[in-house]
Amino acid sequence: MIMSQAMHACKQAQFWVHFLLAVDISITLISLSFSSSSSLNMELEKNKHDSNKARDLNDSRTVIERGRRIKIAAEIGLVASSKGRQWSRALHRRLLRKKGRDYSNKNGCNNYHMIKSEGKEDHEEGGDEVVEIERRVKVLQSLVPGGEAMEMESLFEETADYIEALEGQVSAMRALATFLDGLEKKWIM
Amino acid sequence: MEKDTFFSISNKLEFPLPPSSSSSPMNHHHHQQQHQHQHQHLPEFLHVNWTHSGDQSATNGHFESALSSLVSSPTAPPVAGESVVIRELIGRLGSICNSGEISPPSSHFTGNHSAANSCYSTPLSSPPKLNLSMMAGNLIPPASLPAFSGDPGFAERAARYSCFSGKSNYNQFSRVSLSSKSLKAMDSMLEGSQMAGKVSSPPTPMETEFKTAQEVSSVSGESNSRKRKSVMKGKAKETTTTTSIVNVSKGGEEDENVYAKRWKSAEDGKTKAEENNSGEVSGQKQGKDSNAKPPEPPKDYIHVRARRGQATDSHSLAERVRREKISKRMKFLQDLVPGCNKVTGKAVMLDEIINYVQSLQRQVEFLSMKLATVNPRLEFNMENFIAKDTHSMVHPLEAAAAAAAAAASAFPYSYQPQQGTTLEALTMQMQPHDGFADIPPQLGNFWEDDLQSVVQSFNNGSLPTSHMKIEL
Repeated sequence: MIMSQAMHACKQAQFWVHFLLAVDISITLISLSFSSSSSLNMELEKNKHDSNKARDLNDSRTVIERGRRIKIAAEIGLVASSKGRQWSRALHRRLLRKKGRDYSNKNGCNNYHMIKSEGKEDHEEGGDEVVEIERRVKVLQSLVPGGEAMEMESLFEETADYIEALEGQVSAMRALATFLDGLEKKWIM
Repeated sequence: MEKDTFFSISNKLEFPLPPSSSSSPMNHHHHQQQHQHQHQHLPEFLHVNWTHSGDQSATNGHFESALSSLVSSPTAPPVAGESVVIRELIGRLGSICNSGEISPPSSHFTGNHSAANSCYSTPLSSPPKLNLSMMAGNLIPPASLPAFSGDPGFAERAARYSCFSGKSNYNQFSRVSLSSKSLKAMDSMLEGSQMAGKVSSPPTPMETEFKTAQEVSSVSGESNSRKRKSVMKGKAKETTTTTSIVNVSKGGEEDENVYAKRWKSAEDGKTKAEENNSGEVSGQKQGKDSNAKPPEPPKDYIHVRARRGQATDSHSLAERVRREKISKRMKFLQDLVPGCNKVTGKAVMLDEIINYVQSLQRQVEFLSMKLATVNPRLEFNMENFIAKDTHSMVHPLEAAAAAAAAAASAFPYSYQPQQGTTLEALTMQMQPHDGFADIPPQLGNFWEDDLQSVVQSFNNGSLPTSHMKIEL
């Protein structure tokens, strides 16, 4: 148990390091999004010398757009930090596909509830527990990138790795957010 | 400090091994010659993919190349010598398991073990762990090494196996090497490489390990002849799996036993072999979950223990093995997901896992939105914070800090049309590159280019300071 914890710490530190690299991207994106965003390109060009342009930078639309771009950056970091994994490759493919389309959220966070309600309506089969477990496995497959292609054993393993990667990502982003927050509030400065 | 450790270990690897085992000194020399001969060919290739972490990775590149040359050397000696090599390796590991201590000069493996242990607590220790698993393996074509090096998951698995296994190993060194993929890939490779030969790897208790190592080494001599043919085919495969790491098992380590069983079962997918196993094993029925296992006669096939009173036909055995695999992985997930220790049962456990993954994903979205609302009121002094060293992980953040820390000042706002394409360029960059080290240089360039544009784009007090206060 101690070993697994230590290993976990190692892995998280590694993700942190890899993710900081992608945070580089995200910082770039943050800065970029202040100057332009895909939806605001034309607008900004028009308002190039307008002092009002700053007002648009914190519109809800632009913030959302910026958030999406940052999320993409986070996903890039996630992919980069854990190459060689099936979910990592699937996520990479998803990102590349996304590139040509809208940067919309692709995570099905509500799938679980959907499937659960469907299950209640469905006729319960004889192997009750098996059905239940199968349902949950389906949900997990929808959560983990590339999960549909995996069967149960590998799905669990990919899930474990994915969870670790996500934890690393969350901690990195949280630290970054806290740091920038502190700067703004002048704790640090 | 880490670098020193790595270097010393790699040095130990390259120097003559003490005659602790009964192997012939000829093999040692042969190994060394192979070392030096092959050492030059690999590093430049490896270094390409290891530049991202600077010195440490260079060290690891050397380390890895040394190990890979080590690994490849056993294949060179003549057929008769192979069994000798294998016996020597087994004997050495037997000595390792007996001592229970890790003394670097004693052998390759102990050296690597100490590498694993010494670097266990260091964050960036994945490359040595990789080496650890590679060392017991076969010829690894250089093409697969970068893949090895780039996989932290792999490192984790290797580390887990190696750290669990301070004890002896069996004749699996013969012809397999750890793949860089996940366990699943390894399983599939194992199944795919059925023709590459079967490896038997029964776990052993602590007391009788050394003895059984001797037994195994004698048996392995016979089984090697059978495996030799299939080994040739196995060599052709780009990634093969090693059961050596897996089958090294502490006596008291239940997890490792289950892992060993998983490897065994994965390798032995053929019905005939399983029937053989069940035929052999049914005569020695034991409690499956007991940690202290009496030594099994090492055979050429994978052993799957049959429980008392349970069916021993191939299907149920395979089913049981699969269930063990799944429960093992669920246990690991249970460790990962916080607060799942009290939960029992697959369904509830899966519920918890799903909730956790969903919450993590939601947190990521949340945090990305929060970062989006960060409002830079900044003043820039370009010379202070442009990152010159693109290989350092800390610099981007420091640069950002320096940038953010400056007071706001007025800059003319200029819109540069090419900025919007940076993301596309970035994501396009990722596609053709397999090596992780390729990313930092481009990122560094992007950073510098965009930072310049950022500098020009910020205004002073005209930015409204509205940002959400989100509780984390």
